[in-house]
Amino acid sequence: METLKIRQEKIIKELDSLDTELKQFDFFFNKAFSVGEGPRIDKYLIEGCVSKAWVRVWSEKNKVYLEVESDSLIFKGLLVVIKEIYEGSSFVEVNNSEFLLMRSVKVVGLLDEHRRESIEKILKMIIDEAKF
Amino acid sequence: MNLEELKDNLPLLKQEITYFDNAATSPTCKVCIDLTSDYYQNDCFNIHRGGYKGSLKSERRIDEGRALVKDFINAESKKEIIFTSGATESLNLIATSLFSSMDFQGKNIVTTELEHHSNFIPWVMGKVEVRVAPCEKDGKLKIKKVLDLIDGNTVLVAITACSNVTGDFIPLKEIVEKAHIKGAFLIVDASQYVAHKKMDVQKIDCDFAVFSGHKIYGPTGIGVLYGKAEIMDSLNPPKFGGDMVLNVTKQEWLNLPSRFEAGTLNLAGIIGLAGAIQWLNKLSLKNLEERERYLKAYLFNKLSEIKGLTLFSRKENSAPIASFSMEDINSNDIAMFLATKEIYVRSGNLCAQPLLSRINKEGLVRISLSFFNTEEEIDFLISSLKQLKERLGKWKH
Repeated sequence: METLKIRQEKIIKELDSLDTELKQFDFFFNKAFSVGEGPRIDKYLIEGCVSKAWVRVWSEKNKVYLEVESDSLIFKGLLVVIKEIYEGSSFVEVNNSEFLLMRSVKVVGLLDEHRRESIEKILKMIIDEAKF
Repeated sequence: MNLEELKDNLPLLKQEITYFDNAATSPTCKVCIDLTSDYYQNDCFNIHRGGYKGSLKSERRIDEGRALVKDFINAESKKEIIFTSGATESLNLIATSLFSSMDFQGKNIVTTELEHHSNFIPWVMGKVEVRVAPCEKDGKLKIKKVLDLIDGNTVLVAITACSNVTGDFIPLKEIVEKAHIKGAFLIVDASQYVAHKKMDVQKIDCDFAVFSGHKIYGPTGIGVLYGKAEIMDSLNPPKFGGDMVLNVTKQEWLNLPSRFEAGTLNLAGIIGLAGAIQWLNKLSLKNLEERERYLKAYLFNKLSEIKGLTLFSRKENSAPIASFSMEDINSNDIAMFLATKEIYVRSGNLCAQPLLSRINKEGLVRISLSFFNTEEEIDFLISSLKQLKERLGKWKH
């Protein structure tokens, strides 16, 4: 299995190759449609998110797993990408990782303050879950 | 002035953008930019008690600005014009003043589900019963619903003259009459209204009215509170500081409007706002209204071509605003897609959660036009929305 670092690098490379905001919009929409519906359960709701988003993070045998859902397809696409990066990663990998994806995101709407805060909350949930 | 000349007067439009977010902020006009810049470069002197030429010059310009605002809304006197940072501060100022000046025991405030949060939260935060007139499921406000809530214990009716979501102009006559018969004040949120129609506070006979400069091609950070002089004279000032006090130890305040304008005002903002009003006066709101009515009809006609699009705005008796939802796609996604084509619109709850709850929507997309928009821009919007629908269909399958 690829490491978290390699998975993230591959996605960043793909995003960087999409040279317009519109191409990235398509990329994230495709990601959203590539998975089924996630849990829309209140306890997984991310508070303060512009569009409603639900994220469940859990661990088994010291590895992290995620389920994601959002009313916004484009935000869901971003959450799916985060899931692809972190899913199945060991606690050690998560703790040694750096989230660099957002530097390559060109869709302006995904970069507003509220959405960035939501992403930070989700990353904190992942890191908190990956504590021994 | 033709369209090209108009656009020359709105420098923001030189960018390759299609701007449909005028209800949030209109592009600043060149007159305003030049005057503001000139103030900072040549006349940045504080007013009152300066005793030097520069201070007196600034003072005169602020006085002229106040007079222009007075005429813009047809207030009776300049002293009824209080400068604030915007409509939000104006509404909060009145709320704070009323709450500190009057006994609200057993009293109520009447407002509506149509209000922007800024004309809703300040009232809810007070220790007073707030009665909220419900809208219909299509977002319309029936005046009777407001009238039914006003009684002898109503202290204030807080209502918009034009919805920032539906664009509906609200007929205020009956509401003002009933409020006054029952001894209540009436405050009008004119933030959307003033950009499209002539505001006449004396004709409306409202007790207070508020609006912001940045929605009428003026600067951000400047707004207006209009208040009938005899009422404002009876209210406690909500802010204290320099330039509003007559005697500090006796806590005696200066006359209107100074007693409500503690501290140094946004002098550049006032000068810029005055410039924007002069520019609008020159263009004539009546002419602009005609142009906007035409564009709105064109937009509504085109939007009706899109299947699965539900409009929450109406063609008649409304500002050039079209708020809508589309099947199977979130409002923020629509706005983000349009943004990839540099089409700027607003999305989400539009600072109107009570209304959106009533119409059972999490969010809407809002297109807010101005006289400078064109048919070509509207065509581009429509083709982009159709393109989004096509893409959505492909992705789903």
